[in-house]
Amino acid sequence: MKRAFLGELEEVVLLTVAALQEQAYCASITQTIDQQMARTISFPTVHTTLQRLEEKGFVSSQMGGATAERGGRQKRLFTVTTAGQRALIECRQVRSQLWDQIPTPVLELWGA
Amino acid sequence: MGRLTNEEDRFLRPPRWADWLLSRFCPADLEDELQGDLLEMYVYWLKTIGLRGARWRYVLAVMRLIRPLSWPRQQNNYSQPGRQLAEHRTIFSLHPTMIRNYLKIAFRNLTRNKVFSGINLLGLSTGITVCLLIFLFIMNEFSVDNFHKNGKSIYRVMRGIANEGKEVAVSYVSGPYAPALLNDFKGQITQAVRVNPTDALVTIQNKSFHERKIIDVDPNFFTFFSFPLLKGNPATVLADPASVVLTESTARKYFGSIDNALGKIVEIDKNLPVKVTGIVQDVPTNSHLDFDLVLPLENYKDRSYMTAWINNGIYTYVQLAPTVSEEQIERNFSRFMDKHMGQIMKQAGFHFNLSLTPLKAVYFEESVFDGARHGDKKVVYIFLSIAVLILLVACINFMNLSTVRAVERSKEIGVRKVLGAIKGHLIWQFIGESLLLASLSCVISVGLLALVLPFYKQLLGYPLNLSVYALPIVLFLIGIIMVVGFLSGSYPAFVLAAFSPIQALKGKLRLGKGGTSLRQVLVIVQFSISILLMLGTAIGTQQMGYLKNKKLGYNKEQTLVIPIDNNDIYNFILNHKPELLAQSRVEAVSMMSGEPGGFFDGLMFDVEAHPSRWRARTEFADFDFVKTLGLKIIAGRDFSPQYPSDTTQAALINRTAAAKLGWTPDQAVGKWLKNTLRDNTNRTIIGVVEDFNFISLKEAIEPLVIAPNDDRRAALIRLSPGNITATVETIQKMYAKTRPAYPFEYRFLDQQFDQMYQADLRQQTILGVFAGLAIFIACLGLFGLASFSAQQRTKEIGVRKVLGASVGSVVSLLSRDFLKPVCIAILIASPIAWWVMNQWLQRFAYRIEIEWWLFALTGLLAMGIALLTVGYQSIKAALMNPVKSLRSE
Repeated sequence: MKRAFLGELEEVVLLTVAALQEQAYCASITQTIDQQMARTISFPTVHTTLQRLEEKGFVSSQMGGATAERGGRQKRLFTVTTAGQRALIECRQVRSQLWDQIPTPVLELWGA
Repeated sequence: MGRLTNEEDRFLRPPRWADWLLSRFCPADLEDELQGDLLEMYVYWLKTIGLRGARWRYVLAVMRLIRPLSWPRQQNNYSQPGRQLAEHRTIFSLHPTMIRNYLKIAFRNLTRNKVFSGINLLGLSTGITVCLLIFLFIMNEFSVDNFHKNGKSIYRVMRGIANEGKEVAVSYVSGPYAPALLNDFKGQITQAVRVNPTDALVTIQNKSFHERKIIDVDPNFFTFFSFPLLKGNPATVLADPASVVLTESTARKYFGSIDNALGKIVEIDKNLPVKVTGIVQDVPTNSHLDFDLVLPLENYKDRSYMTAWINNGIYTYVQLAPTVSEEQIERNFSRFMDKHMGQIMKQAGFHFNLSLTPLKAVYFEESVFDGARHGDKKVVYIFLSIAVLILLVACINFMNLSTVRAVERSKEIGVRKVLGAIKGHLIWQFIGESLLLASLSCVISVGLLALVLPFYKQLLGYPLNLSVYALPIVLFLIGIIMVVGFLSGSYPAFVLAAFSPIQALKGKLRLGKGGTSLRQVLVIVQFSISILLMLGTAIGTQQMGYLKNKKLGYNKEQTLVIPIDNNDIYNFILNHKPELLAQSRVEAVSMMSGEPGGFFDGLMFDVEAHPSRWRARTEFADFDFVKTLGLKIIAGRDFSPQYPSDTTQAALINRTAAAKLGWTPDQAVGKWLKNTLRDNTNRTIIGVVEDFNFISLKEAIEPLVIAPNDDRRAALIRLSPGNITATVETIQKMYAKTRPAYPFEYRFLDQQFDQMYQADLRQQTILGVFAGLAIFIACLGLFGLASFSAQQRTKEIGVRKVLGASVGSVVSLLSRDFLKPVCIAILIASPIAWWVMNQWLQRFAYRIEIEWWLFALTGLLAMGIALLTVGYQSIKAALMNPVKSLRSE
């Protein structure tokens, strides 16, 4: 199997799944991203991303409880798998490494 | 977030159709979660971006979700292999990559087989072009008078006269009808308009034009009909009697431009000055009314045709109230006629009744004699069937060639099947290919259309406005693509899809016996159609030739017809007759009421020893009528100046009249008859003339009574053979000396006679062209089949030649297969053609017998053409060096 590469969108979605924990399903993820990111993201995009993540083995899913808001329909709840965790951590490490390489004066200049 | 309350649910729920789409096209196991999620998202959107935005996003989301690509690729689930496979394939075959692949394959197949695709494209695009041409013609025919806004409730009043049990309808009534109808049918007939077609001398400053397309109308004409005015208010433009409306081109002719014309004075017949108050768009060809100038009828209110009930010459159109039906009005017409015309009808011994013709039907009215434009529904149907037949021929080509090509493509099909294509995919692939080819042909045929349109317009004899039909043409083309694509694509698709992949890949594929026989049936159908059209054209041409050359019983050569529609020409001929006759080349001059090939009045007669009134055609002529036309007197004598009483007391009848009255020609002489309307006393029959065809040859010779009277509508001048132009010039000079206002206008009698059949001749020509095209397309197909068959049998021919077969035997071997269906086609088409053409010939009173040799000739011709087509391929195959053909592979 080729190396599982985590795209930017996938990373955002995966992070949201992790953040939402037991409440992570497609609609809630979309809404969270929609609210917290400065850009709108479409529902189908999230849907396909989740499927891709599942294919890659970064999330697993099971059917969860039905609620009245959804017209009595079940939701597919996502949880981050070990592989997913590792991918996220790896991702974060790579980024912090790069952050660390930025000289401090430059960072100060940026106001970060 | 939250759920929708019941109240909200009703108004705010997401679009149902989107829900339906989702449930229809979404994989079953995803449906639950997706629907739930989407509903939640919908409520979220409702709260954040409002109803419109929410609905919009919802639909967008559904659209994107039902895309095949957004479905998960499934892991193999071995518990349900069948279903899995089917779903997988559906997705696969709709995959954009696959569609690209189909297109690529289709394109490669097209370019690889240049002969086949050339034949297919040529055949289809020719067929489609013919269909387009016919479509334009039919559209034009059926669009006549469609543009009037009130068209649906407008009717033309027709006056019917019962004649020997048959009702003959006349479109002319007199002036008093319209006001009386409005008065007697108050509330039922809401509007009426009278239209008097006429001609006049129009003078602008010092230029004069003799205009023949003038209509005198009631002031509401432009609100009643919808002829669009470029200048002027439709409601008031004719309110003043001293006003006139010109068409655009007439205005240009008189004044150079539209703006220049407005407000100018035009003089009608040198005594009625009228002011141009409006400019109307040129009358479109799809209007039965045709005019250049419109004058208020008010100017002629004292004329007899406006005051006397018995007169005629005016069209009357009525508009019915929306609640009233045609029948309701017609039911009361006989009471109406009794009230107004009862006295006159009793006196004259005939009975009129009125009827209504819907405006839309006026154009297609049969056997109505008036100056308006008329069409023939039968012709429309004939053309329609030709279009269908030609398209069918083209489709058959396509089907045949595609199935034949199937063998070549068998490997591709095999590979596709092995890779997992099921029958459905293949069928759609091939139908798609034929749709593509049909679209390509449509593009080509639009180009061809542009190319041939000028010629077609000439053939039809009227302009076609393409831009008006742009939308219908596009719709029609889409329709054609669909029909042709599916019709011609479906059969090959099913044949190809049914191949067994193993055989296909092994290359052992042979088209089964079924395929061959079906192909032959199709060739038979093609050739039957072609031969049918050929026979139709041949018989039609024969009939028209017969009409043109038939002896009419009078001299139509070197005879001038001069219409007498103004006083200048009337006085000239009346007063200068001796001078005219003094010219060496003028043989005879006569003035009359009806010129041969024109209109002859039908009037009622009291006849000696006949209790009931008798109807006959009448000719009011001077004493020289018989001489000028060169008629033969078969009993009695001609009119003669020796007996001055002939003017009022004598009449000639034709042979048919004598026979109808139960006399031999000799018995007829000396009997009396009386024109109930025009004469006060009886006239004695002084002679009987031999029958001559005074009206169209479509009709049988009718009884005719020739009597001297002052009714003059035409003059005939018979010239002796020789320099006709010089003689006509001399006459023109003589006329000019009388300082006339009207120009000298004339026609030749034989030309005029030909004109009568011009519509038929035109249709004949068009039919001929189309028949030729049908044969062309059919032969294209045959050529393709023959070349394929020769190719396929290369080896066989090689072996035969090696074993000593001669070139001739090989050619006959290859040709025989193709001539058989053509022979059968001849046998099928001949009786059908005979029946159809016999039906058509019934329209003519004088017609040819359909002869057997015509069928033989057409058959031979068809065989010859087919042989020529096939022969090329056969000979090529037969001449090929067997070494080459046997060594291949």
